[in-house]
Amino acid sequence: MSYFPEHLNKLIGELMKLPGIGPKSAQRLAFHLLNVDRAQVVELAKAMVYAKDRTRACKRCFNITDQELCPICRDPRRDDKQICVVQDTRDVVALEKTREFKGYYHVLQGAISPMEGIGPEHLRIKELLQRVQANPQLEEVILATNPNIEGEATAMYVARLLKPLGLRVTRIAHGLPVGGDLEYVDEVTLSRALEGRREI
Amino acid sequence: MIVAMKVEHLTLRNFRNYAHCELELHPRLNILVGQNAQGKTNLLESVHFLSTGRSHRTSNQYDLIRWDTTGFFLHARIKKRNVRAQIDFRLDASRKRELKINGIPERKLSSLLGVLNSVLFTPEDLQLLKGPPALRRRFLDIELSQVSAVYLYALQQYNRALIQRNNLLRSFEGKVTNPVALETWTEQLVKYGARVTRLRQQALKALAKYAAPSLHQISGGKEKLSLIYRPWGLKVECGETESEITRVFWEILQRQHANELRRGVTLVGPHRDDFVSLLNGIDVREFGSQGQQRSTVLALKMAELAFMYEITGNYPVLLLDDVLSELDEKRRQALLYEVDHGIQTIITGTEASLFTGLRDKEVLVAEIVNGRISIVQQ
Repeated sequence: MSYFPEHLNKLIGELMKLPGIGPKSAQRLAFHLLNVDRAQVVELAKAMVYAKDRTRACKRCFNITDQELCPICRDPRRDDKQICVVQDTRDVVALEKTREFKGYYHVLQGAISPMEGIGPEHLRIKELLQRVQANPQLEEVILATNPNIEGEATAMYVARLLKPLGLRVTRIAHGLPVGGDLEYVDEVTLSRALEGRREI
Repeated sequence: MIVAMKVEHLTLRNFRNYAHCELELHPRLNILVGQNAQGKTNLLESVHFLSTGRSHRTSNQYDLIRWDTTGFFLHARIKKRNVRAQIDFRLDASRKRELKINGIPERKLSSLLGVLNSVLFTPEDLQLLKGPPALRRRFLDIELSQVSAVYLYALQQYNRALIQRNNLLRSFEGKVTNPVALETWTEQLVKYGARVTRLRQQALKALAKYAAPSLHQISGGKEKLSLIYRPWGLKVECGETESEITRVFWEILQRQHANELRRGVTLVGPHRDDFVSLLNGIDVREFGSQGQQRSTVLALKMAELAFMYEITGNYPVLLLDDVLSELDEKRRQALLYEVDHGIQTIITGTEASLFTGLRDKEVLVAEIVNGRISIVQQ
C-alpha cells in the first residue's frame, strides 16, 4: 500500500530510475524538493530539460557538445597529425586533464560486446575510417579504449581496419601505477606490465 | 620442522546452523565427532569459504545465512610461520558484503586468495576420476586459483572471451558476416586460453611428481601413476611455451571453423580440458577397480598439499570431511600418516571409533550437536 499522494509517488518513482538511487534515496530527494523554494525546483527542472535539448554529438568526433563541432574540434591550434580513439566522452575529459595530448579525439560511444548485442556497426567506427581517409596529414591513431576484454577486442578490431591504410596505429600502455613501490603492486598488474615491457 | 599454515581461532555467527561458535583450534589435529546433520560439514565449509571465497556446496552465498537471521559473520585468526593474519567476512541479506584482511577493508573477494590456503577432501571427491571432466577442471581451478593470481585473472578473462565469442558465433547464424570481429575475439580467446592451458599443464606435471610417491605408499609400492593432460579435451600435444600453445590452438580452431559456425559455439579450448590418470599405463577411470580409483584420488589430494607447499612455502590446512569411513584400513593409515606430518588437519566423522590410534596423541576432540560444539579432549 502507498503512504503518499499519487503525484509524490510518481516523483519518487521517476527519481528511482536514476543510477545509484534506491527507494530510500529517492524518497529523501523527493522530500528535499518539496521543502526548497519553488524557484529552485523550477531552476533544476529547466536545467535538466535545457541540457537534454542542447546536448548533441560532435559531427566530427562524437564527443558531446552544444554546437555542430565540439570545442576541441573547433580549436585550430591542435595537432592534426594525431587522433586518440576512446570509448566515452568521460575518457576525453580524463585525457584532457593530463594536458599532454594535443591532437584530436574520436569517441566510439561504447565497446564491442556480442553478449549485449553491440557489434562494430553500433559504434562510430565507420565514421572513424572516413575521417582517417579524408585527412592525409594524419600520421598516428592512438587506441585508448578500456583495458578490459571488450576494450581490448575493440582496439584490436579498429587496428585491423586501420593498418591497411598505412599509418601508425598505437595502443596505450597498461601497467604500473606511478609513484608506488614495485613490491606493493598486485601480481596481475605486474605480470601485464612485464608483458608490455619495452627496450630502452 | 615443517612449515604449515594454522588456523588458531575461528568465529562463526549465524552461519548455516551455527548461532554463535568460538573455536580455539589445535595446531595439529582436530577431530569433530557428531551425528549426521549436526553441523560438522558446515564448520569445514566456513574454513574453506574463508580460504577460497566460495562454498563447495552452493553458488549462492545467501544460502549460508542461518535460517531466520539477516546475515552471517566469519572470523579467522591464522598463523603462518611467525606472522599472524586475520580475516573478517560479513554478508548481510540487505547490504553488500564486507571483507577485511588484517582489519583493512578489501573491495575484491579475490583478495582472500592466498591468505588462508586449504585443501578440502570430501566423499564426493572420490568421484573425481569417474565423474565428468568439469570436476577435474574444477579440481585444478581451485588449487591454482589459491596460489596464482595470474591464473585466476587469465581464467576469468578466458571465460569472458568465451561468452563473447559464443554470442558472436550464434549471431552469425551459419554465415560469417564480420570476419574481422571473429578474428578479434578468437585472438582474445587464444591469448588467455593459452595462458590457462600452460599453467594447468605445469600444475598437472607438478602434481604427478608428488602423487606418484604418495600412491606408491598407499598401494604398497606396486603401482606406477602417471597423469596425462588432455588440452581442450583432445589427444594432442599442445607444446609447453605459450607461443607454441598459441600456435597449436589457432590451428585447431581453424580446422574446427566450419563446425563452430554450424553449431554456433566454441568447440575447442580450456573449457573442454581434461586429464587422464594411468596406473601402470592403464586408464584408471575406465579399467581401474574401485579401490584403485580411491587410491588415486587420495594420492592426488596428497599431491595437492605438496604442490601448494612448493609454490607458497607453506603447507595448507587439510580439511577432511567424513572420508575415513569411506576408506579401508590401509588407505586410512596412509592418509593419517600425512595428518601426522605436522599439517593442521580438521577431520570429521560420525563415530569416535574411526579415530582410535589418533586419540592418544596431542589432539583436540570436539563433539557437535545441533550447531553447538563441546570440547571432549584437549
